[in-house]
Amino acid sequence: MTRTSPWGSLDLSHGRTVQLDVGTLHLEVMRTPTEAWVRPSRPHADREVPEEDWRRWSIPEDAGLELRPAVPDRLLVVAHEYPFRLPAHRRARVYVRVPLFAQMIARSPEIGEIVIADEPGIVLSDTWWGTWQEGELAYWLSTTARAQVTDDLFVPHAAMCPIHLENVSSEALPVDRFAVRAQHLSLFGHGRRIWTDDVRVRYQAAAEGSEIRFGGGAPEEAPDARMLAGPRIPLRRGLQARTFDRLRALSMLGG
Amino acid sequence: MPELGAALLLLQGAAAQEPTVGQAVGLSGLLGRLNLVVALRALVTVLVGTPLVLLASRWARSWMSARMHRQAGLLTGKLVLYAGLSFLVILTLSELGFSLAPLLGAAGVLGVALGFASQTSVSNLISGLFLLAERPFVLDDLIEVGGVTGRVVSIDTLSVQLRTFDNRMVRIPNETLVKSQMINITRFPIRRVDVRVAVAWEEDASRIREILLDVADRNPNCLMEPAPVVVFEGFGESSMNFLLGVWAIQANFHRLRNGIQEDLKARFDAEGVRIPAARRTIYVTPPASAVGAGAPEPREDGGPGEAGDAAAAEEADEAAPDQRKLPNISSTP
Repeated sequence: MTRTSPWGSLDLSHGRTVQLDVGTLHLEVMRTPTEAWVRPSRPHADREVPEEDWRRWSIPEDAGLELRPAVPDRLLVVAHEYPFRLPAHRRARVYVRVPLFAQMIARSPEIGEIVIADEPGIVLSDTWWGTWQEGELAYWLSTTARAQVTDDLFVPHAAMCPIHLENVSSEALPVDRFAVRAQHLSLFGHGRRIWTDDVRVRYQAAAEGSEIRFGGGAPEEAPDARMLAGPRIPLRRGLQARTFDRLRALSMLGG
Repeated sequence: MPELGAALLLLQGAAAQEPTVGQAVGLSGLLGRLNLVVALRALVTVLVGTPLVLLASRWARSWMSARMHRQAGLLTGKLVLYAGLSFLVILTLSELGFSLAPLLGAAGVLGVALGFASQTSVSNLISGLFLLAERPFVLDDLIEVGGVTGRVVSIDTLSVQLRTFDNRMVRIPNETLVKSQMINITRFPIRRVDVRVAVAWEEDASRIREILLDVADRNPNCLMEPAPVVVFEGFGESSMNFLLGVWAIQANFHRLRNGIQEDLKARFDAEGVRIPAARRTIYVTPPASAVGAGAPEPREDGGPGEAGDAAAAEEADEAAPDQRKLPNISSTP
């Protein structure tokens, strides 16, 4: 079975297997009358990932299967390859490619929607966002944080996230890395392009954290895009969180 | 006690009526019935009171856990349980007709004696309160005390119980915990894995540094921040010694510790990096007289001489017994 995009419904008759690729993820899906079998693997990953066995799910005979993109399940720490400084009282709009997860959904009137697989398209490195005493586990994403978007930047396993930075403090803001709370993002599709909603980050001062707001709708770059997936953790309002501040001097032995 | 009064009146009345054998049986039956009533009341007190105390203890535990923390809840629950049970015992004894005044008097005298005898327990109790207030660890923390490492499974009024990795229970008195050095291994969310690596002198130190950092970078359990670090610790007897410090979240600590060492071994093998075995050269200089008498020459491989050589040495020693000396041994790394 050849598909131009991995996303969408699977027309899978009983006893047949379909192979799907999302980034470095290779998914094999098999259907029997009462079961769905899924096996993720990463034959081409640049790091070793233990092989997994088939996962069996008992689902009704009339249940359909769909591969759906999803935002990462943790915060993303975006590290810029070319850091920049945002002067006081200035704004900037940057674009970050957010790696997507692939969710295999089984759906029927009887069971509703259940997620039978939820795998990252590419294996991201772990990192820590916080202090020595507290914080949260995050994914590390090295990026150039572009100011412009070109067509070749769009790939099926990543969504373009427009980030609007505003420095309302009285000092220049060094933007070498910042946290994107990806769990709260929604996904929108337009053609083969996948976007997230707008993220607006308002930096007030180091001690006060930043005010973060999520657009909730298609970004202004793709107003006609339709929603592909909602956020993993919905937020009604924005949130106040540490976005630019990070654990300083963590690079050494912990002293 | 109205029942007791009524029983006495009945007894007096019965005595006035010249008791027969049959009446005597009736009296003892009456007494038995009265005792039965008292016993039943005491039993009802215990049967109703015990579940109530247990319920109150459970409620106090959950109420306090919700408002403070789990071990405060556990302690409060236990205090309510002990206080409730003590009250129940006093109430039952009172139902059974025991006078509490002599008991309390005796308890006062006994208390002084117990006070002296239970200094350790009181110390543990007070230490437990300090531990509760200070909270150096909570339930499920991994701690090390006096060479014992284990998970905290309970924090009680007198002691803390640990479950060791080989599934043994260790009871540590609270006083010991307050007095001695205690390490809480899982207090903070991230932890460093130190891997010490020794490579041959012939290797390029900067290349080794690059390899170590690359191996760390490729391991999915290794955190990007805090960044991995390589320290050139110095020259050993037969090696250059490096320390690779990598960070992991607590849950991945052992996975990273095992995985990264396996990765390093595989990578060193693939890159042809030599890990030296300890090397020691021993020079044996036999006494001049022994050499002259045909003593064995030192072998280049340092191995033992042949049986014939040993016999020759013995002959040489016999030939010059006054010149028998230990050989000079010097070693260089």
